[in-house]
Amino acid sequence: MTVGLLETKESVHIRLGANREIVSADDLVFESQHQEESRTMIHEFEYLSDYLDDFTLSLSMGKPQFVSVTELGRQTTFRYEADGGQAIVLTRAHRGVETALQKTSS
Amino acid sequence: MGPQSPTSESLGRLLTDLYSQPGVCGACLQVRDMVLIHDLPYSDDRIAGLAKRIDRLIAGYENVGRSIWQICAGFEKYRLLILCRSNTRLTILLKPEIDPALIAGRATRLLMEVDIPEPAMAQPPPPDHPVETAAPIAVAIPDGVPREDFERLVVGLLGRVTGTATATKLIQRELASKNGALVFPKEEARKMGLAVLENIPNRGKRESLVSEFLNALNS
Repeated sequence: MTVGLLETKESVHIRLGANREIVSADDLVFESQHQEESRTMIHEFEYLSDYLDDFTLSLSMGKPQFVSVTELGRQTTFRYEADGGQAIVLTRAHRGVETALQKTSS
Repeated sequence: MGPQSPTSESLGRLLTDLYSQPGVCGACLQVRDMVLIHDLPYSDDRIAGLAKRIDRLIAGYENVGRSIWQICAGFEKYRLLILCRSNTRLTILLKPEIDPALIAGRATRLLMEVDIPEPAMAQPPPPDHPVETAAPIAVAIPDGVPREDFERLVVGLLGRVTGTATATKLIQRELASKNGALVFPKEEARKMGLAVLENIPNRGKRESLVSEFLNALNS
Protein backbone atom coordinates (compact mmCIF):
# COMPACT_ATOMS: atom_id res chain seq x y z
CA MET A 1 0.00 0.00 0.00
CA THR A 2 1.41 3.40 -0.90
CA VAL A 3 1.65 6.15 1.66
CA GLY A 4 -0.80 8.20 -0.41
CA LEU A 5 -3.24 10.07 1.78
CA LEU A 6 -0.97 9.79 4.81
CA GLU A 7 2.04 11.27 3.05
CA THR A 8 1.45 14.73 4.44
CA LYS A 9 -1.11 14.21 7.21
CA GLU A 10 -1.15 12.20 10.41
CA SER A 11 -4.81 11.33 9.98
CA VAL A 12 -7.56 11.64 7.39
CA HIS A 13 -11.31 11.72 8.04
CA ILE A 14 -14.26 10.92 5.80
CA ARG A 15 -17.89 11.04 6.88
CA LEU A 16 -20.38 9.13 4.74
CA GLY A 17 -24.15 9.29 4.43
CA ALA A 18 -26.51 6.33 4.59
CA ASN A 19 -25.82 5.53 0.92
CA ARG A 20 -22.06 5.82 1.38
CA GLU A 21 -21.90 9.20 -0.31
CA ILE A 22 -19.28 11.56 1.11
CA VAL A 23 -20.95 14.03 3.47
CA SER A 24 -17.75 15.67 4.63
CA ALA A 25 -14.06 14.92 4.43
CA ASP A 26 -10.64 16.46 4.75
CA ASP A 27 -9.73 18.53 1.66
CA LEU A 28 -7.01 16.05 0.76
CA VAL A 29 -9.60 13.40 -0.08
CA PHE A 30 -10.88 15.46 -3.01
CA GLU A 31 -7.48 16.03 -4.61
CA SER A 32 -7.23 14.15 -7.90
CA GLN A 33 -4.19 12.06 -6.92
CA HIS A 34 -5.99 10.74 -3.84
CA GLN A 35 -9.43 10.03 -5.25
CA GLU A 36 -8.67 6.44 -6.16
CA GLU A 37 -7.37 5.67 -2.67
CA SER A 38 -10.37 7.39 -1.09
CA ARG A 39 -12.74 5.43 -3.28
CA THR A 40 -10.94 2.21 -2.35
CA MET A 41 -11.48 2.96 1.35
CA ILE A 42 -15.20 3.40 0.75
CA HIS A 43 -15.27 0.08 -1.12
CA GLU A 44 -13.25 -1.45 1.72
CA PHE A 45 -15.99 -0.36 4.09
CA GLU A 46 -18.50 -2.22 1.93
CA TYR A 47 -16.22 -5.28 1.79
CA LEU A 48 -15.88 -5.37 5.58
CA SER A 49 -19.57 -4.68 6.16
CA ASP A 50 -20.49 -7.85 4.28
CA TYR A 51 -18.32 -9.87 6.65
CA LEU A 52 -19.55 -8.02 9.74
CA ASP A 53 -23.16 -8.71 8.76
CA ASP A 54 -22.19 -12.35 8.37
CA PHE A 55 -20.60 -12.46 11.87
CA THR A 56 -23.68 -10.75 13.29
CA LEU A 57 -25.88 -13.54 11.97
CA SER A 58 -23.65 -16.55 12.50
CA LEU A 59 -22.37 -15.62 15.99
CA SER A 60 -25.34 -13.60 17.31
CA MET A 61 -23.12 -10.60 17.99
CA GLY A 62 -25.66 -7.81 17.68
CA LYS A 63 -25.37 -4.93 15.24
CA PRO A 64 -21.91 -3.93 14.03
CA GLN A 65 -20.57 -0.72 15.56
CA PHE A 66 -17.07 -0.37 14.16
CA VAL A 67 -14.19 -2.25 12.60
CA SER A 68 -10.56 -1.29 12.75
CA VAL A 69 -7.89 -2.68 10.40
CA THR A 70 -4.23 -2.37 11.37
CA GLU A 71 -1.39 -2.97 8.94
CA LEU A 72 2.15 -1.71 8.39
CA GLY A 73 2.18 2.06 8.75
CA ARG A 74 -1.56 2.61 8.83
CA GLN A 75 -4.74 1.94 10.71
CA THR A 76 -8.17 2.38 9.18
CA THR A 77 -11.20 2.57 11.45
CA PHE A 78 -14.72 2.36 10.05
CA ARG A 79 -17.55 3.40 12.33
CA TYR A 80 -21.29 2.95 12.03
CA GLU A 81 -23.06 6.11 13.21
CA ALA A 82 -26.36 6.01 15.10
CA ASP A 83 -28.13 7.97 12.33
CA GLY A 84 -27.21 5.38 9.69
CA GLY A 85 -24.22 7.34 8.47
CA GLN A 86 -20.69 6.03 8.55
CA ALA A 87 -17.27 7.46 9.23
CA ILE A 88 -13.74 6.50 8.25
CA VAL A 89 -10.58 7.62 10.00
CA LEU A 90 -7.22 6.72 8.58
CA THR A 91 -4.15 7.18 10.77
CA ARG A 92 -0.45 6.56 10.32
CA ALA A 93 0.11 4.71 13.53
CA HIS A 94 -1.80 2.19 15.58
CA ARG A 95 -3.60 4.34 18.13
CA GLY A 96 -5.77 1.79 19.85
CA VAL A 97 -9.37 1.34 18.86
CA GLU A 98 -10.75 3.59 21.60
CA THR A 99 -8.63 6.55 20.48
CA ALA A 100 -9.53 6.04 16.83
CA LEU A 101 -13.22 5.89 17.67
CA GLN A 102 -13.02 9.13 19.63
CA LYS A 103 -11.46 10.70 16.55
CA THR A 104 -14.31 9.60 14.30
CA SER A 105 -16.99 10.92 16.61
CA SER A 106 -15.48 14.41 16.88
CA MET B 1 10.66 -18.41 25.73
CA GLY B 2 11.51 -19.23 22.12
CA PRO B 3 9.17 -20.62 19.47
CA GLN B 4 7.88 -24.11 20.20
CA SER B 5 6.32 -26.73 17.98
CA PRO B 6 2.60 -26.81 18.50
CA THR B 7 1.13 -29.67 20.44
CA SER B 8 -2.42 -29.94 21.66
CA GLU B 9 -1.04 -29.25 25.11
CA SER B 10 0.87 -26.09 24.16
CA LEU B 11 -2.01 -24.79 22.08
CA GLY B 12 -4.40 -25.53 24.91
CA ARG B 13 -2.15 -23.61 27.31
CA LEU B 14 -2.18 -20.66 24.94
CA LEU B 15 -5.94 -20.49 24.90
CA THR B 16 -6.25 -21.16 28.64
CA ASP B 17 -3.92 -18.28 29.36
CA LEU B 18 -6.01 -15.98 27.18
CA TYR B 19 -9.24 -17.25 28.65
CA SER B 20 -8.01 -16.34 32.11
CA GLN B 21 -7.86 -12.67 31.12
CA PRO B 22 -10.83 -10.61 32.28
CA GLY B 23 -13.34 -10.02 29.51
CA VAL B 24 -12.14 -12.84 27.25
CA CYS B 25 -15.01 -15.15 26.26
CA GLY B 26 -12.99 -17.55 24.13
CA ALA B 27 -10.51 -17.84 21.30
CA CYS B 28 -9.85 -19.75 18.11
CA LEU B 29 -6.48 -20.52 16.55
CA GLN B 30 -6.37 -21.39 12.88
CA VAL B 31 -3.84 -21.89 10.08
CA ARG B 32 -5.35 -20.59 6.87
CA ASP B 33 -8.92 -21.90 7.09
CA MET B 34 -8.10 -24.92 9.28
CA VAL B 35 -9.02 -24.71 12.96
CA LEU B 36 -6.23 -25.99 15.23
CA ILE B 37 -8.01 -25.45 18.51
CA HIS B 38 -10.81 -23.31 19.91
CA ASP B 39 -12.72 -22.74 23.11
CA LEU B 40 -15.37 -20.41 21.73
CA PRO B 41 -18.92 -21.03 22.94
CA TYR B 42 -20.15 -22.28 19.54
CA SER B 43 -20.35 -25.67 17.86
CA ASP B 44 -17.33 -26.99 15.96
CA ASP B 45 -19.28 -26.72 12.69
CA ARG B 46 -20.03 -23.09 13.29
CA ILE B 47 -16.40 -22.38 14.20
CA ALA B 48 -15.24 -24.17 11.03
CA GLY B 49 -17.47 -21.82 9.04
CA LEU B 50 -16.16 -18.83 10.96
CA ALA B 51 -12.54 -19.87 10.30
CA LYS B 52 -13.25 -20.09 6.55
CA ARG B 53 -14.83 -16.64 6.52
CA ILE B 54 -11.98 -15.11 8.52
CA ASP B 55 -9.41 -16.65 6.21
CA ARG B 56 -11.30 -15.33 3.19
CA LEU B 57 -11.52 -11.88 4.76
CA ILE B 58 -7.77 -11.76 5.35
CA ALA B 59 -7.02 -13.30 1.93
CA GLY B 60 -8.97 -10.46 0.32
CA TYR B 61 -6.35 -8.06 1.70
CA GLU B 62 -3.40 -10.32 0.96
CA ASN B 63 -4.54 -10.68 -2.66
CA VAL B 64 -3.97 -6.97 -3.16
CA GLY B 65 -0.64 -6.94 -1.36
CA ARG B 66 -1.82 -5.72 2.05
CA SER B 67 -0.48 -7.65 5.01
CA ILE B 68 -2.90 -7.24 7.90
CA TRP B 69 -1.72 -7.37 11.50
CA GLN B 70 -4.97 -6.99 13.34
CA ILE B 71 -8.68 -6.51 12.78
CA CYS B 72 -10.93 -5.49 15.64
CA ALA B 73 -14.66 -5.58 14.98
CA GLY B 74 -17.06 -4.13 17.54
CA PHE B 75 -20.66 -5.27 17.85
CA GLU B 76 -23.44 -4.50 20.33
CA LYS B 77 -22.76 -7.61 22.41
CA TYR B 78 -19.14 -8.55 21.78
CA ARG B 79 -15.91 -7.57 20.12
CA LEU B 80 -14.03 -9.82 17.78
CA LEU B 81 -10.27 -9.36 17.77
CA ILE B 82 -8.42 -11.10 14.93
CA LEU B 83 -4.62 -11.21 15.04
CA CYS B 84 -2.62 -12.37 12.03
CA ARG B 85 0.90 -13.72 11.83
CA SER B 86 1.91 -15.28 8.53
CA ASN B 87 -0.74 -17.95 7.81
CA THR B 88 -1.91 -18.11 11.40
CA ARG B 89 -4.95 -16.25 12.70
CA LEU B 90 -5.94 -15.96 16.36
CA THR B 91 -9.51 -14.82 16.90
CA ILE B 92 -10.58 -13.70 20.36
CA LEU B 93 -14.13 -12.99 21.50
CA LEU B 94 -14.24 -10.13 24.01
CA LYS B 95 -16.81 -8.39 26.14
CA PRO B 96 -17.41 -4.87 24.83
CA GLU B 97 -16.20 -3.10 27.97
CA ILE B 98 -12.66 -4.51 27.58
CA ASP B 99 -10.02 -2.46 25.77
CA PRO B 100 -8.87 -4.74 22.91
CA ALA B 101 -5.37 -3.23 23.10
CA LEU B 102 -4.83 -4.88 26.50
CA ILE B 103 -5.68 -8.32 25.16
CA ALA B 104 -3.98 -7.78 21.80
CA GLY B 105 -0.61 -7.24 23.46
CA ARG B 106 -0.80 -10.46 25.42
CA ALA B 107 -2.28 -12.45 22.55
CA THR B 108 0.42 -11.29 20.16
CA ARG B 109 3.13 -12.39 22.57
CA LEU B 110 1.52 -15.78 22.94
CA LEU B 111 1.12 -16.12 19.19
CA MET B 112 4.82 -15.40 18.74
CA GLU B 113 5.71 -18.19 21.17
CA VAL B 114 4.09 -20.88 19.07
CA ASP B 115 5.78 -21.65 15.78
CA ILE B 116 3.11 -23.20 13.60
CA PRO B 117 4.35 -24.94 10.45
CA GLU B 118 2.53 -24.64 7.15
CA PRO B 119 0.18 -27.62 6.81
CA ALA B 120 1.33 -30.15 4.26
CA MET B 121 -1.81 -29.70 2.20
CA ALA B 122 -1.43 -25.95 1.87
CA GLN B 123 -0.60 -24.65 -1.58
CA PRO B 124 2.44 -22.39 -1.93
CA PRO B 125 1.51 -18.76 -2.55
CA PRO B 126 1.57 -17.60 -6.17
CA PRO B 127 4.72 -15.78 -7.30
CA ASP B 128 4.74 -12.00 -6.80
CA HIS B 129 5.91 -11.46 -10.35
CA PRO B 130 5.13 -13.22 -13.62
CA VAL B 131 7.56 -15.97 -14.53
CA GLU B 132 10.12 -14.74 -17.05
CA THR B 133 9.50 -16.35 -20.41
CA ALA B 134 10.23 -15.74 -24.05
CA ALA B 135 8.41 -12.84 -25.69
CA PRO B 136 4.74 -13.63 -25.98
CA ILE B 137 3.41 -14.45 -29.40
CA ALA B 138 -0.20 -13.95 -30.35
CA VAL B 139 -1.57 -17.26 -31.56
CA ALA B 140 -4.86 -17.48 -33.36
CA ILE B 141 -7.06 -19.73 -31.23
CA PRO B 142 -10.53 -20.59 -32.43
CA ASP B 143 -12.97 -18.97 -30.06
CA GLY B 144 -10.08 -17.20 -28.33
CA VAL B 145 -10.42 -14.16 -26.07
CA PRO B 146 -7.76 -11.44 -26.49
CA ARG B 147 -6.04 -10.66 -23.19
CA GLU B 148 -6.74 -6.95 -23.57
CA ASP B 149 -10.48 -7.53 -24.01
CA PHE B 150 -10.52 -9.94 -21.09
CA GLU B 151 -8.78 -7.47 -18.77
CA ARG B 152 -11.06 -4.61 -19.84
CA LEU B 153 -14.17 -6.70 -19.23
CA VAL B 154 -13.17 -7.99 -15.80
CA VAL B 155 -11.72 -4.68 -14.55
CA GLY B 156 -14.96 -2.99 -15.64
CA LEU B 157 -17.08 -5.46 -13.69
CA LEU B 158 -14.89 -5.70 -10.61
CA GLY B 159 -14.37 -1.94 -10.60
CA ARG B 160 -18.04 -1.52 -9.70
CA VAL B 161 -17.48 -3.03 -6.27
CA THR B 162 -13.85 -2.19 -5.62
CA GLY B 163 -11.30 0.43 -6.64
CA THR B 164 -9.88 0.18 -10.16
CA ALA B 165 -6.37 -0.26 -8.77
CA THR B 166 -7.53 -3.16 -6.62
CA ALA B 167 -9.39 -4.73 -9.54
CA THR B 168 -6.33 -4.44 -11.77
CA LYS B 169 -4.12 -5.97 -9.10
CA LEU B 170 -6.43 -8.95 -8.66
CA ILE B 171 -6.48 -9.61 -12.39
CA GLN B 172 -2.71 -9.24 -12.76
CA ARG B 173 -2.31 -11.76 -9.95
CA GLU B 174 -4.56 -14.21 -11.77
CA LEU B 175 -2.76 -13.65 -15.07
CA ALA B 176 0.72 -13.93 -13.54
CA SER B 177 0.97 -17.62 -14.33
CA LYS B 178 -0.18 -17.28 -17.94
CA ASN B 179 3.31 -16.60 -19.30
CA GLY B 180 2.27 -13.44 -21.09
CA ALA B 181 -0.19 -15.11 -23.46
CA LEU B 182 -2.04 -12.56 -25.55
CA VAL B 183 -5.04 -14.73 -26.35
CA PHE B 184 -6.85 -17.17 -24.06
CA PRO B 185 -9.11 -20.07 -25.04
CA LYS B 186 -12.65 -19.16 -24.05
CA GLU B 187 -12.84 -21.88 -21.40
CA GLU B 188 -9.63 -20.67 -19.78
CA ALA B 189 -10.88 -17.07 -19.86
CA ARG B 190 -14.10 -18.24 -18.22
CA LYS B 191 -12.22 -19.99 -15.41
CA MET B 192 -9.90 -17.03 -14.82
CA GLY B 193 -12.74 -14.54 -14.80
CA LEU B 194 -14.73 -16.60 -12.32
CA ALA B 195 -11.65 -16.94 -10.08
CA VAL B 196 -11.19 -13.16 -10.02
CA LEU B 197 -14.86 -12.43 -9.39
CA GLU B 198 -14.82 -14.95 -6.54
CA ASN B 199 -13.08 -12.21 -4.52
CA ILE B 200 -16.36 -10.30 -4.25
CA PRO B 201 -17.60 -11.17 -0.75
CA ASN B 202 -21.27 -10.27 -1.22
CA ARG B 203 -23.02 -13.26 -2.79
CA GLY B 204 -25.75 -11.26 -4.52
CA LYS B 205 -23.35 -8.82 -6.15
CA ARG B 206 -20.98 -11.65 -7.05
CA GLU B 207 -23.68 -13.69 -8.76
CA SER B 208 -24.94 -10.66 -10.65
CA LEU B 209 -21.47 -9.76 -11.94
CA VAL B 210 -20.66 -13.41 -12.76
CA SER B 211 -23.84 -13.59 -14.81
CA GLU B 212 -22.91 -10.40 -16.66
CA PHE B 213 -19.38 -11.71 -17.22
CA LEU B 214 -20.61 -15.00 -18.71
CA ASN B 215 -23.07 -13.20 -20.96
CA ALA B 216 -20.36 -10.88 -22.24
CA LEU B 217 -17.97 -13.79 -22.77
CA ASN B 218 -20.52 -15.74 -24.79
CA SER B 219 -21.75 -12.82 -26.88
